Amino acid sequence: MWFQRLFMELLTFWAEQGCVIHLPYDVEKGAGTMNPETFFRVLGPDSYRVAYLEPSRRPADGRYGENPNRVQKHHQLQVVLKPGPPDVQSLYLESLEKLGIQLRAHDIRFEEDNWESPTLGAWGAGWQVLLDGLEITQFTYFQQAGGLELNPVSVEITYGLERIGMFLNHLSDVFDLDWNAGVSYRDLRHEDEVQFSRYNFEVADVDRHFGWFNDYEKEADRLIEMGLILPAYDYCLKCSHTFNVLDARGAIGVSERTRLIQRVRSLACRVAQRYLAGRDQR
Amino acid sequence: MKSEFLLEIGCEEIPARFLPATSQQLKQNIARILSANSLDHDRIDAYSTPRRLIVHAAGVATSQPDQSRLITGPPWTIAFDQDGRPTAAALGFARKNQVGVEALSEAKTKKGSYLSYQRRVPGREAVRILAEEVPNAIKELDLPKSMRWESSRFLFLRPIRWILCLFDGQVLPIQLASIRAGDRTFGHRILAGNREAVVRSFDEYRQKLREAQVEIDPTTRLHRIQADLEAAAVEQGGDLVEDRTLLQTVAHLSEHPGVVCGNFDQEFLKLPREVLITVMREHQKYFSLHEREGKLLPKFLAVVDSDGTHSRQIQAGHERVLRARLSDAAFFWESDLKIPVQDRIGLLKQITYQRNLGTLFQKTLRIKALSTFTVKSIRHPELLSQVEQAAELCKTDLTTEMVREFSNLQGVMGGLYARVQGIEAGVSEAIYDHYLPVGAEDPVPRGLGGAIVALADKLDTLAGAFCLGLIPTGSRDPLGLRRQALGVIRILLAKELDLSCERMLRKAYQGVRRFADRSREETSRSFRDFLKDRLRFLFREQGFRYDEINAVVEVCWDNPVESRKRLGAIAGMRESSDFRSLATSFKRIKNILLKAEVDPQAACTIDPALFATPEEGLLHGQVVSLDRGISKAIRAGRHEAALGMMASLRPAVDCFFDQVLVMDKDPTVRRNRLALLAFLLQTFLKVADVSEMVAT
Repeated sequence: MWFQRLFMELLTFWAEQGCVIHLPYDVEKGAGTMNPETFFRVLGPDSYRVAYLEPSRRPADGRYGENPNRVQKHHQLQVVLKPGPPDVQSLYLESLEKLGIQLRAHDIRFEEDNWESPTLGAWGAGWQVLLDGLEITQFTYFQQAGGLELNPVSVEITYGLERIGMFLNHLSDVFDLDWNAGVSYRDLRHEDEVQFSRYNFEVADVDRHFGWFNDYEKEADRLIEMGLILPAYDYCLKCSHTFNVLDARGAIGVSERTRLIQRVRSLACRVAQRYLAGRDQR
Repeated sequence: MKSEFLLEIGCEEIPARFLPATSQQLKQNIARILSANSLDHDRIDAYSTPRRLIVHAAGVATSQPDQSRLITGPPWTIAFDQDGRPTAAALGFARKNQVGVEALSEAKTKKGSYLSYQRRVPGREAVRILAEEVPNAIKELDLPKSMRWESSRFLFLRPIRWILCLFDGQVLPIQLASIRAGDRTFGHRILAGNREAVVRSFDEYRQKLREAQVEIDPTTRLHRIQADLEAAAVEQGGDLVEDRTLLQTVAHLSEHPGVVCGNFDQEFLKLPREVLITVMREHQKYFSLHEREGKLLPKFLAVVDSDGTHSRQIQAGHERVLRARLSDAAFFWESDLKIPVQDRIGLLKQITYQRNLGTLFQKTLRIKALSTFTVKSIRHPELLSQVEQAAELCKTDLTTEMVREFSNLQGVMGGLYARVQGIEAGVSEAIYDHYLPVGAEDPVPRGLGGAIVALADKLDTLAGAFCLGLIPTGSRDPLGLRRQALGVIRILLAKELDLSCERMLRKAYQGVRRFADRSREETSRSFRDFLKDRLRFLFREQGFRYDEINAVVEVCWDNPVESRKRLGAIAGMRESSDFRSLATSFKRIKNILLKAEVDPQAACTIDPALFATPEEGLLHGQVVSLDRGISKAIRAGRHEAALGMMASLRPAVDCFFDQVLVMDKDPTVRRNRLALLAFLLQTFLKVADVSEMVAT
C-alpha cells in the first residue's frame, strides 16, 4: 500500500465517524498532541471529534538518513474523540481492517503504556498497540492537560504511519516505502533527513538557540498577560522545539534539562488555564 | 439452600502488573462480604484475563440463618396476678410484640426475672445483601493507579465495559460507573470476534468462554505457555533461558496464549549475552534460548495472543521488529566502546545523583572513600588498588547509551565495557557485580572486591537518604532502601565480614554530612532501628524463630556475622532444661527491676557487706567470675561456651529466688539486692536477651 494511500484511508475512515478532518499545524512540534486541535480541544466541556496528519520533528532521532528505522521527522495520524465512545477500541480495530490488516491473522495486543508529556503538563492512561510485536499506535485516555483535570475524558489515538507502512509492505527500511506509484519515501524525505541531522547535531548555533529560547519565552509570557492565548501557545511550541534542537546538539546538561522543561511546562499550564478562563467569559 | 455467585468485570486491557494483586483483592473483598453477613460458602476462587476480573463462589447460602432476639418486658413478678392470669402489663407487652401471652416466657437476668419474648428474626436473602455489598467490594479495591473515562468520573484500572453478575442463575442488579450488570459475557476480541454469550452458571460461563478462545485461569495459561516454550526449545535444539518474572507477565498479557519461534541474524551474537537477553526481554518480552554450554542461539520465543493458524506471518513480523531493536543495541554497543571508561568519570560531574545529594561524581568519590575504609578495616591491603579503581569506574556506565536505554543493565555494562577495554579482570568483575544483590533470589557479588564496592555504594545510598530523613514508612519505599539494607546484611553474612554497621554508617555519614539536615546521632538512631528490622526479616527467612531472633537482635545488631553466630548457638541450646529455666528467671529479674523502677543499664554498686543471706554472696561470687569469662568467650567467638556459662548459673539463681526476698523492708538492703540483679542482667545481656525466649 502506498504511503499516501495509508493516511488517506485512515482519514476517510475517521471522517465517516464524524471527525473534522483537520490539517497539520504550521509550527514545528514533537508530536501531534501539540497541535492546538488537540491541546485546546481536550480542555473544557464541549464534545469534539477531529483527525489530522501531523509531521512530527524529533531532532535527537535523526540518523543522517542512514538508519532504516529512525528519522528526525516522522508522520503521525492523530485522532481525538471527545468524549471517548464505549466502542472506541472496536472502532480502532476496524480502522486497521480498512488498511487491509486481517486481525485474525495477527498477534494484536494492547499493552500498558501511559503517556506523559512533562512539557505540556499532560498525562493519560492507555496502551501501545502492538501488531506482531511492532508498536503501531499510542492509545490514550487523556486525564490531564496543561496541569488541569479533564472532563469529559478524550481518547487520543496516534498512529505511527511509517511503521504501519513498513508493516503493510513487509519492508525493513523506511526509505523503501512507495509514497505513490512513482515516488518513494527516499525521493521525498532522504535529503531532508541528511541535512537536518547535520544541522541538529553539528551546526545549530547553540548561543543563538538559547537566546531564541529566552525570547520566545518572553514573548509567550507577554502574550499570556495580554490574553492573546493562541499566539502565546505558538511561542510555547517554539520554545519546545528550540529546546529539542539544543538537546540534540548536546548543549543541555542534565540538571539544566529539568529546569528548561519546567519553564516550557509552566507556559503551557498558564496557556491552558487562561484559555479555559477566557472560554468561560466568552 | 445453596447456590453460586459469579462476578465478571469486563474491562479494556488491564495492565499485567496490576492483575494478580487486584484479582486476589477482589476475591478477598467478596469473601469478607460473605462472612461478615453470615453467608456460608464452600469455596471461592479468583480468575483473571487482561479483559476480565472474575470471582466465583460455590455453595453460597441463599439466605442468612434466622436469628432470635430476646425482648424483655415488665418484671416477672408483676406479669401475672395471684390466679396466674396475665396482668395489664403482660397483656400490653404481648400486644406491643403482636403475639399472644402464651408466646411469652420468663427470662432470668442479673437484675432479676422479666417477662420476655424470643423474637425470631428471619435471615436476609443473599441476593439482597450481595446486591448492596458487591459494588462496595469493587469500589473498596486499593488500586495502584487508576483512571477516569466517562462522565460518572468513576475510577478504575481501565474502562469497565460490561459486568456479568449472577446469583443462583439470576442477574444480580448492581451498577458500577454507567454499567448495569447483566448475564452476558464476550469472547476473545479477535479470535472470536468479541462474540456475546448468555450464561446461567459458572460451568456454562467457563465452557462458553473456552469455545470463544478465552482461558480464564491465569495458572492454566502459565502452565500452557511453559509447556509450549519447553516444547519449542526442544524442537530448536536448545534450552530455555528461565525467566519466572517474564513468564508471570506474559501469562497476564493474553487470553489465548500461543508460542511463536523466530530467528535473528547470527551477526548479532557478537553482542554480549546480557545485552541480547535484555533487548529481547525488556523491549519485546521474548524468551531466549541457549545451547547446553550456555551460548545463546540466534533464536527467540514470543508468546502471542493467537491460535497458531497464522504463525509464519506473525513470526516474520516479530523478526523484523527484533532486527531493528538489535541494530539499535549494536549501534549503542559500538558507539559506547569508542569512549574509554576512564574518560567517562568526568562526565559524571554533569549528572545529578539525587536531588540534595550532589552529582554522580561526588557519589563516586564517596564510594571510593568508603571502599578504602572497608579494605583497611578488614585488613586486605592487597585489594586496595583493585577496589579503588572499581569504585572510581562503577558509575561510569550511567553515561552510556546502552544503560540510558536499558537501565537494568547498569553495572553489567560498566563491567563489560571495562573488560573489553582491557581493564583488569578483578576490577571489571567488581563493577559488573556492584549492584548485587538486587532481588531476594539474586546472588551477592562473586569476589571480595565487588562485595566491598557494593557495600560502599549501598551504605552511601542509605546514609544519604537517612541524613535527609527519607526513611521508608509502611509500603512506601520509593528509593528501595529496604532492599539496599538487606543487600548490606546479605553481603556481610555471605562474605563473613566482621564489620560494624554503625561504624560504617558513621563513615558514610561523613561523606554526605554537607547535605545532611539530620545530625549524625539522629541518622544513626533511625538507621539502627531500620537495620534491626531488616535483620529480623532476614533471619526469619533463614528459618530462625521469632523469640530467638528477638533475644539476639536487641543486644547484638551491629555486626550481622556476630548476630548470626549467636543465633546459631541459641537455637542449639534452647532445648536444654537449664537454659529454659534461666529464661524464666531472666524474665523475672527484668520484671522486678521494672517494678522497682531500676534502670537495668545503670552502673551498679554492690556492697557484699550488706548481704544478709549466703545465697546473695554465692550468686554474687559466681556472677563476678562469669562476667569476665563470658566477655572472654564472646570475644573468642565461643558463643556456645558463653551460653553454657549462663546456664551454669541456674542453681545459684534458683537458690537466690527461693531464699531471698528482694524487696526487703530496709532500703539499703533492698537497693543492694536490686543492684546485684541488675549486674546479673547486664552480664547476661552481653550474650542475648533470653527473657525473650518462650517455652516450646
